[in-house]
Amino acid sequence: MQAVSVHNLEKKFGNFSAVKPVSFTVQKGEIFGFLGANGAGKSTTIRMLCGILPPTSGEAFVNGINVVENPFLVKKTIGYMSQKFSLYADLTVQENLDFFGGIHGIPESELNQRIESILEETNLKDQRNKLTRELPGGFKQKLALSAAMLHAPEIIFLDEPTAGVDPAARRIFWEAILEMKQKGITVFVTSHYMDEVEQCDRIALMHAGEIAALDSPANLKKSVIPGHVIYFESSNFFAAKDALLQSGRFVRVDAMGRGAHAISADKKKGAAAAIKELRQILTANNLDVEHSEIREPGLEDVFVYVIGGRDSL
Amino acid sequence: MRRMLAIAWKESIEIMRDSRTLTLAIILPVIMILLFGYAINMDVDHIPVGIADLDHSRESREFQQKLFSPGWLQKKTEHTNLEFLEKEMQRGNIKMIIVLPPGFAVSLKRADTAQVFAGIDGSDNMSGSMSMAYFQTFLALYEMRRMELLYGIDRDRAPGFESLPRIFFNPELESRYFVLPGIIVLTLAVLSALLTSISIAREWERGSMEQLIATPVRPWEILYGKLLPYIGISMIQLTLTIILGVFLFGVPLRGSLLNLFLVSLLFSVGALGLGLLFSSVIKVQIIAMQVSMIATLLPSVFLSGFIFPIESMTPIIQAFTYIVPAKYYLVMVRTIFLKGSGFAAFWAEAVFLFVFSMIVLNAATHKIVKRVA
Amino acid sequence: MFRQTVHSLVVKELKQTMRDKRMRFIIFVSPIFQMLLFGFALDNEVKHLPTTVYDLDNTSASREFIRILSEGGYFKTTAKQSGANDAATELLMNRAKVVVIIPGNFKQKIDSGMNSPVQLLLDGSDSNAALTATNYIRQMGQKLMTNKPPASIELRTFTYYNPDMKPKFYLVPGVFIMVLTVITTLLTAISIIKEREQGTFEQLVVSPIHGYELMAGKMIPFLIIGTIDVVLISLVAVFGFGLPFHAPLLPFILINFIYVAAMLGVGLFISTVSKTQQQAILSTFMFLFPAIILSGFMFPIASMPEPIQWLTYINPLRYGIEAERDMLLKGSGFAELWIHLVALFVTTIGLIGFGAFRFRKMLVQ
Repeated sequence: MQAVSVHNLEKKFGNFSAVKPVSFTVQKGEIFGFLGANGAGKSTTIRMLCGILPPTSGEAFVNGINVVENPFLVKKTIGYMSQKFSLYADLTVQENLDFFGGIHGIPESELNQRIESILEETNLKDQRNKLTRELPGGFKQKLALSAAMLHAPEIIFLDEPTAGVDPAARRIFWEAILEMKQKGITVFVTSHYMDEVEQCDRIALMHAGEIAALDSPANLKKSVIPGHVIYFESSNFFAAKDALLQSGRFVRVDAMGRGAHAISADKKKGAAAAIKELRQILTANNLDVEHSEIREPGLEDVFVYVIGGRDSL
Repeated sequence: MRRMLAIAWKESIEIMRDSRTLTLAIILPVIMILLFGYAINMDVDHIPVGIADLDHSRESREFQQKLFSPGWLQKKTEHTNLEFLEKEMQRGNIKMIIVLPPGFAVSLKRADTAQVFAGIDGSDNMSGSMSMAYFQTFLALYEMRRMELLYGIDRDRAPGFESLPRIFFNPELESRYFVLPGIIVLTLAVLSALLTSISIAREWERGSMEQLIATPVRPWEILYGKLLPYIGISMIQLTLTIILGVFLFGVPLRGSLLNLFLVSLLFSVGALGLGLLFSSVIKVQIIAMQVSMIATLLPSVFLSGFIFPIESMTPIIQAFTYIVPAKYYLVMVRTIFLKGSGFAAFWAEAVFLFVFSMIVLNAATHKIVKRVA
Repeated sequence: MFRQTVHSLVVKELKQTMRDKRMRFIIFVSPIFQMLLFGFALDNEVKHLPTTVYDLDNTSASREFIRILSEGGYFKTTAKQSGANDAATELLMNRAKVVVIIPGNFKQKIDSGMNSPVQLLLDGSDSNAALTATNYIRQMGQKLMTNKPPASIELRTFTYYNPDMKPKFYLVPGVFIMVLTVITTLLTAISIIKEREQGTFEQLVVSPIHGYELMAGKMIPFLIIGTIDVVLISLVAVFGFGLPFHAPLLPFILINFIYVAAMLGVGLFISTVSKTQQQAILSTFMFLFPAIILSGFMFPIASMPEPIQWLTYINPLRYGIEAERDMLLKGSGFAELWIHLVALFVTTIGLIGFGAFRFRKMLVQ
């Protein structure tokens, strides 16, 4: 059974198409990632799926429930957490959990049990009477996730859950997501961080309201990039970029670490030949090449290639 | 100075961007002046009266006719059953009961003393007591006329003393002239404090205060920088309300416009400063605003001398009114508008207001300094 | 389900509100303080009018006149023997609101049984004081008249519900409503914006909550707080100011309860149509200020132009003040006040309904 299925879902704000008709499905138990620049339509899509925003046209089913016809029912079966820290800062840990359990109508005895186990898992047992605003960032994030999961939804929507969280906390947070997958919970997540998205089963790349590509991370890397990814270092990156792009043999050149990634136009020639070609073009333009090697394409390469620019990141 | 201007500039941009707030801030005083200039009339008029004419004579009907024709008191019900009238009063349908007892006409004719009974609704200050005052005036005039008829008494030759009132500045006793300057003051007083009450708390909540403090900007520069754009808004509000008051409602502006702006400037610094003080003491926007509303709205209405005379208050309460800046401003605005006198007439108020503003601003600055430390 | 959802919302709101020391102060201390302050302060009787008397006669008769003038506390007199030419300056310089000039031949005229005019200069910029001062002095004149001809009409007066015509009695119920109104409206005016600005609104929106549940969840806690305030204020009114409590208990409780609900409704309405806290607070002012001025507390409604009088029919404060006074002083109950009850009830239902509707619309933004 599919956790989410979307058919030609579209959202317009006046004349502006925030989401052009998109169709996709999410399998039960999957971690499904939404990758895209700000304004690509990720949040709008999620909001439509959560029953917050009525679509202009198209259909969507979440847990088999028609979102357009029955948004209220959908809300009962989903969890949601957004980039904004969504707990009440002026309530204690315990009070927040009581509250979110209560508005979801969880019977009290059951709620108390769940809260106990959550406090156990998050190591917040001693801090249950602390105001939430006094918790360190990572704890807050995990607590917010626990609160969103209190009513045991089958699917959870996470809208940039780790924006502005430090790397260590992010890692802990993702462990929790993987744990949910093990419990069979479907996770629908949007993110900016490539390393995070790598952990998804499948990724939809959104660009300008459309899904530009949708596949597993491994397949995306294989299928999207037309040529080889070559890492090189040159003392004059901008001149090198111009020269390579002008040659027509390379489709993208982007700064990466101390050097740059260049994507060749095709894979007709082997990897070694591609490197040679790169060196030739640069030397012909009187540019130095310090170091060059073939790299496995990463998601960042895929993303940059599809979206067509780093600036929008 | 440049740093202060930078902050003022930033604050202005933020104000301009929230166009709805800006519109509200500028439109509100205009609406208030329009509404109240039109609505408010302190003169008692059309007070509903219930009358029991138990005499049913030509004289009693004549008395009634004379009583009701000026329109101050309006005959709402006539009934011979007093209980019925009392019920009507309890329901709030009439504010006064007048009883002309049987034998009214006979007593008048015989030059005896005729009795008239008048009962007022003591639960309604405005209508009750004032309608009684009017009724008494009416009776005095009625009696005087009768006396002239009966005895031919010449009023000027009557022994005793007579007061010759001369009313200055507002000979017609137009209540509008009295009330409208008050409305200008109240609107400015409350709006000013409300507008600034969040401005510093907002920076704390957003975390941008730390940012500001990390720069070499000094606390007073933050404070005065925030003050400047709001002074601009106050001056716009003031200009609009003056124009409406003078040209639409004909309130005379006898004094100097420059003086009016000077004292308004002084006042808006104080009122805005009060908002800033609340804002820097209470770091939370919501609470800062609530406190400002509570601290300015009712006190400005009740303790400024707007309607309720300060002279009538007990000394302790009078002492309390010294911390209501609207009180000083009101005296100054009324004086400038209606009397046309200059600073000589209100230097004490000006000094008080200046001291108030300085204390408020210093306290607010001090609070920011403490926060920084 | 409904009960649990609303219960959770109520508990949450109460905890958030009560946690802050400053909030507790605003809710429980400030109404009592304001009630005491304004209750003691307000007195619409004009008293202690600063008065300069130029006694150009300086005789026993003129001094007697001044003595009588100073009696009763209406005029605070300062006597001067000369300088009457500058009399108007006293008014111009705000040194006095009333100037009385006793002419040089005052005693002589009175003794010879003639009318002796006393010059009165009044500051019309305070029209209220001027009017009252004229009346006081006229009455004084009547008292001083010797050889009074027999009165042809004797007026017997009675003041219903407030026999001694104590200003406190009719002013305190008004203050009661004012204080209650400001506090209750403020409490809810920012309650939804607060959620939006803190980002918790998103979380509420994706939770299975109906509009009416949220409205109930936001209303009930403040209804509880408002009711406590009603009790506190009533206690101050009765024990602090000796107000007679003639109100039948059930109507008193019910009408005050509905009044609080209506005011919370106003606050919620403002909260749902405002985008920022600043807008909300300005809108609250936009409601409160005209509502106070047009409530009949300070200016008689009967004297207002017809369209404005119609406007007062949709002013909940008008119903509040009338009902409060009638209940406390007249002992009115449902029989007399059912219109007020219905008006306030309709206001409440209308505002809450609109709030729930707006909430549903907000979901889709």
